[in-house]
Amino acid sequence: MERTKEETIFEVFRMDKRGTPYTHVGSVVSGDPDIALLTAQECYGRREGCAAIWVVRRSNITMTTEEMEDEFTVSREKMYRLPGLRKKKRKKGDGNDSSESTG
Amino acid sequence: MTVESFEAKLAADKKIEPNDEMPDEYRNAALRMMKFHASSEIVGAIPEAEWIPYAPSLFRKRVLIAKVQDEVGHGQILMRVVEDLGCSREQFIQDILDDKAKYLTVFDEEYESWADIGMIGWLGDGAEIERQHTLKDASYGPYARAMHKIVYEEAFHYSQGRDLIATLMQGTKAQRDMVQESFNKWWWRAMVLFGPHDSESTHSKVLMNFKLKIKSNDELRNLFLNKFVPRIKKMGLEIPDQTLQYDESKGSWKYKDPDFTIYKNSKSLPSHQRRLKFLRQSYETNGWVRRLVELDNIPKAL
Ligand SMILES: [Fe+2]
Ligand SMILES: [Fe+2]
Repeated sequence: MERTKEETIFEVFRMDKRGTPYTHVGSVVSGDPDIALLTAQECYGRREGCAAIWVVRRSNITMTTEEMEDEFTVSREKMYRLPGLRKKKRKKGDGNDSSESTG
Repeated sequence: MTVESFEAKLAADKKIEPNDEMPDEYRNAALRMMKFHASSEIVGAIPEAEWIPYAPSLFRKRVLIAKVQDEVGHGQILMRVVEDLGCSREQFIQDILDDKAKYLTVFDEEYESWADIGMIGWLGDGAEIERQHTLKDASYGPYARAMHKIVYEEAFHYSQGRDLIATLMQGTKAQRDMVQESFNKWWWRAMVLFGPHDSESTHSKVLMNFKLKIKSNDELRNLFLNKFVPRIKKMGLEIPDQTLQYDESKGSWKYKDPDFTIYKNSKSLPSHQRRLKFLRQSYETNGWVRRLVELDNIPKAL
């Protein structure tokens, strides 16, 4: 089976200690997942030690774009997401939340 | 993305990620620097691998094998960074096989004694740690992250080299002489490793503007001297530069310039030619592994 180049890239995620989140650490190239995992073990699991490793074909990852970054930042205009935190925020001196300061 | 908005992004200390838009100037500068680093890791493993059969004990042999495996692993990690920037793995490897790749030229030299193996770890990797430690702050995200992992492992390389040298220094006079003789070469090699003076470094300015390089060649050389002059003295070695002196008022070192052109004929060295032949042969004989893991089945056009 012929694969595109993109499909030979596997992203590597590592769990340092049992109970901690998996962290993206880099990527490896391989024709199939088993060898990708073996390469990832050698590159990312050998020296530091870890609890577990995931490899995921890059082409199977769906991701946001750079432009969407702004949408994820916590906005002053969405104070309803931070009820009860207004006073604290205001103390910091960026109290641009007059529309909410009725209480 | 305009050049201005890209520069604003850099100024705000935002890291650049592979899928981000970036000006060609940035991509090319990053690619050149990171190809250099990736090639250095891979080519640099060969002279040390040559010494594995001559390690004086099983313990030292295992230490050296582990180090060589680390270096090739660093090459693997950085090759991925290079690929995502737009240089294919095939091209990257072909450049090495065609003798077109650029890397730290010290790796073309003959390693003449077991003390040389200690020196490359202690002084060579030690000097590289100074540089790579600053590069954890580089603006290209995947490279900066790779530096965290790589520097962590370089620390092992430094300490195995120091341990090897310290052991020889506690040995016979012949062993101590071997170390001093090796050090007399590696002192200058370490000084050259940081590159030409800032005033003569062609790529430095561009790289520093893009925050791909964090400290200049001269700054790094100075940091290296701060750390290593005391270490070298403690080791009982004599520095082959009588003019070396710390200038309190400037907070920097005065030293005799190394010969920055020592490597200008490195391509014609027998040691380089021998290693090139070895690389070409092993690429050929290990082809079945690449075919087995299907890496050679990828359509060329892609
Ligand atoms: Fe390395
Ligand atoms: Fe190293």
